[in-house]
Amino acid sequence: MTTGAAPRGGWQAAWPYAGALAIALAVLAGLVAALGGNASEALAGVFRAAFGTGAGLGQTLNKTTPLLLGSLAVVLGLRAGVFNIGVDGQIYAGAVAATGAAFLLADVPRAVALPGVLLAGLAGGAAWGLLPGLLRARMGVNEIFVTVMLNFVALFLVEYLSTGPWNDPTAGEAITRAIPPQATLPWLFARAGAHAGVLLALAAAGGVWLLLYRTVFGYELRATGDNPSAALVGGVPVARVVAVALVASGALAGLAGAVEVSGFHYRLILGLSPGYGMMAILIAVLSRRHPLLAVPAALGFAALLVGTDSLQRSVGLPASAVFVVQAALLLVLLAVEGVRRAR
Amino acid sequence: MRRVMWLLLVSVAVAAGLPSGAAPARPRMAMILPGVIQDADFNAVGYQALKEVQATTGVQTAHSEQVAVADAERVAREYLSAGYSIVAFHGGQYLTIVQKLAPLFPDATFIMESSGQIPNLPANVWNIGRKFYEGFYVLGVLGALATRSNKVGYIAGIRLPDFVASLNAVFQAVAKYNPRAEVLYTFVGDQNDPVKARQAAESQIAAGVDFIVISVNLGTVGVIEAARAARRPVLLTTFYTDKSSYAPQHFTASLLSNFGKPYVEVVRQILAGRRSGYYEMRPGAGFGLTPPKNVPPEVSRRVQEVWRAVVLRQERIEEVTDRIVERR
Amino acid sequence: MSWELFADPSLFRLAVAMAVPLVLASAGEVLMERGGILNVAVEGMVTLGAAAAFLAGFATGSTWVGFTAAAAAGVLVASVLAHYAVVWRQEQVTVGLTLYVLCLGLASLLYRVVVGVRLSPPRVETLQPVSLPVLSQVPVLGEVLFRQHALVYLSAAVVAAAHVLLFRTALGLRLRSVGENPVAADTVGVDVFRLRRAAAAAGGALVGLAGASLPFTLTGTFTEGIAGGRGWIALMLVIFGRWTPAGAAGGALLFAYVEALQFKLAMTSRAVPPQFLQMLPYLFAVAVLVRAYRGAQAPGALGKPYHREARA
Repeated sequence: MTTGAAPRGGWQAAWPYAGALAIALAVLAGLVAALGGNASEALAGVFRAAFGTGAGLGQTLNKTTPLLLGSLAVVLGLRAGVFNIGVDGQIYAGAVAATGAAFLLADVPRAVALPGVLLAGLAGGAAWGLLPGLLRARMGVNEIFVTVMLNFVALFLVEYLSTGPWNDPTAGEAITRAIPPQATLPWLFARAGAHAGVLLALAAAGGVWLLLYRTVFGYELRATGDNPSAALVGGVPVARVVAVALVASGALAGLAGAVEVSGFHYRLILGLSPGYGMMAILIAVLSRRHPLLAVPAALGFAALLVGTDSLQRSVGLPASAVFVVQAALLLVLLAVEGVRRAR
Repeated sequence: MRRVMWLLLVSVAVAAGLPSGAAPARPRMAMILPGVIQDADFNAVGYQALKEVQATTGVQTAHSEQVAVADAERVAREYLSAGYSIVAFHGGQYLTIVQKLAPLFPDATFIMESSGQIPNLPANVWNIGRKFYEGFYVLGVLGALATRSNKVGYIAGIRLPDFVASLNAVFQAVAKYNPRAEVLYTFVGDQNDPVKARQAAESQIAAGVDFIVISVNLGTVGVIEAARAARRPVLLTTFYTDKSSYAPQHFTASLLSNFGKPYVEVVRQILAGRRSGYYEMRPGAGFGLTPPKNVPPEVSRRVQEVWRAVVLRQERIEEVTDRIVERR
Repeated sequence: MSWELFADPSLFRLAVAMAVPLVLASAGEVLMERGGILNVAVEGMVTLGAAAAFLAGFATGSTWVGFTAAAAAGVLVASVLAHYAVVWRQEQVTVGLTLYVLCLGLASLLYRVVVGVRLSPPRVETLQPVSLPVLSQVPVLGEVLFRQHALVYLSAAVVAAAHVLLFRTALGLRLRSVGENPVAADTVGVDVFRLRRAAAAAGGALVGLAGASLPFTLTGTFTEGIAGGRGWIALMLVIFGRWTPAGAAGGALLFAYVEALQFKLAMTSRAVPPQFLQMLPYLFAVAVLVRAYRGAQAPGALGKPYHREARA
């Protein structure tokens, strides 16, 4: 893994990506053919669905938002040398906090309510990152297990709230009452159904980049991730840096949850995150742990999600096939990198 | 199926070239389903309803399965921009999306499902209210009369208001028809996790339950396996579809859902120009009961009597959705 | 609430049955980690094993073919991981997480391709309890331990065999040295790469079998999310058991007991909403993990690639 500020430029660095993308598309075409569909038609359909219409483009942007914020959360952790597998749980925690804040701020103007909701999301996600952060910093407990276990805890919490105290009795499902209108995000493109969350996500990508490369803390964080013992010798408070990184990572994921609530669902819903956390990990690795490269990677994954949805209708491609394509893409990349290293 | 996609693409192209508002001559209907249509359960009966609509009304249909709530709005928008004039959501979790999209697409008509009447729905929304609890009341009566251990079990997934109401109905039925029996219940937290459903069923059977009212979907197979492995005979009931062929010696009655009935009726109304309304799905109107098996004939007879009384609204059943009211 | 609630034999009986996937998966993971390979794809491999077992069993009608397919799937995924880790020296957690996602996707995809769209979920026959002669007549213990399905007995044998292999044979000693200090192992002539790959394959087979146990002993079907976090729990149990198969198996029984207890509590106690009881096993796992970390000593070279030319 490269650890420098920016990945190597030029065609040298780009060709494995092009190759991996080609292989991923080939995998997709193969799957479609295996299910009895026409592969070239299907691939054309993917692009048309994701980018060809206003509504498609709008939904691609909407999908990019949680994927980008989630992958930034993973990136931040990876740069500090920790694996945050709990993005899904932190998204839910952020969504819970955001929904609670929206209910509390029912009587205040939008200028207060909306920032309050988003901040609550950050706080909720941060709270979910705190326990793994503390356990890792204080006792060296592996953050992978703790973050995964907290995913389950968050799901049950959401189930409790969405079916219990906050339930909307008219729907008969695990969804809460709607949040007040002044707590909702404005549209970016109303006709296309794209909300402004994607701007927040882009700002977050810039923010993470600034944090990593333009602050002392970012330097310490990268030093910790690259070589913790050297960082410790160099005077970096490694334990604290790791804990703060996990909390900040949780906060970014929590913001994704808040955006889903205030920009898209207008309520808390069980099923709010259909595996965003998993895809966030793949995107973070794909972008070589670089916050700005996460932007095109997240956009690409979002387009793939929106695009393959049309394949669900046409050839009955199961939703999970997207995971196969995305993971295959990454495995090819890792293999290319590996072959080079093994030479 | 491939044709459907081409239709979509072509209609996108056509719609892009036409002034907006030019509706196609023949209405087309799309249904959005939360799970896979081969689940032999909630989604299968939804899909059957869609096919029935196509066969009886001549409306062209398309469907999208396994649509997570997070994706449903996008999928619906795709259908709407492709010119579909009726979009149905099979499930109550899509309420927000309907409330959001209906005013944005005033020319289209939306069909949604819920637990009952919803105030202030937009003027182009049909609401199908599903009163499961009335059906579960009768399954409770069957349990009350058929249990020998005087312990009736109830296994549900997520603690949804519908299933809380159904559990309360079971409590009422058991209290009225067998006051000596008690009801043990478990919400396992997932409709489709057969492992958890099995664990819950094992716990109930170990506690003496010999009759389980199943209220989970794919989790049902886990309960069946627990019943088969039990050393005492355990009777089961299920809902949505008849699953008795999985374990013929364990299943007694099934509460069948025929979503075709409300959907055909609602689509007919829409075609006749009535673009909003409420249809209540209840025993006799979309819900049916299979004749109870593996129980003494007099139990079967009495249960069917109660069913008829419920259909005619002659049996008093309270609908409580927000808390569990245990009755002894 | 009385102590009898916690000591109910039926609780232990259920715990023993439910521990099987955890025991098998954690034993497999112990083998892999002892050889120096950290496999975080367990959850995905359990899911894929369940799908492979179910589909092969469904297609052929044979339980044996099902178990074989699950083991083969486990070996395949573990070997891919080992290749990336050993030959290409890629970061194991990164590759493992990617494989985790790949396995989850593949499992559902395979199910859809093989089973297709049908109106009722297909089923396979499940293993029914086998009463062991004499032993099953022992009061309480007989009910809890000796009236279980065959995989319970097999799991016990696997744990014993793995334990003997690791700590009582020369091969086990070599394997542990490979995971502990590959440089030293290499100097005395142990083939580090080959042994790591072999350990991964053996471990992968066990993880695959853990997946097979779900459809074949519990549900008779495959569903998405059938692993339900058991793979992650197995990963935790390895630490809990201090990288010994027996220790991990003990942890598996404890965890399965808490899980069973939760269902019993949910039936008896009405004060706590069920969702909070359902959190119990997972919070318990975190608590146990914190405890387990005190003094835990992972294999020295766990997760680190061995670079022969680069050795000092």
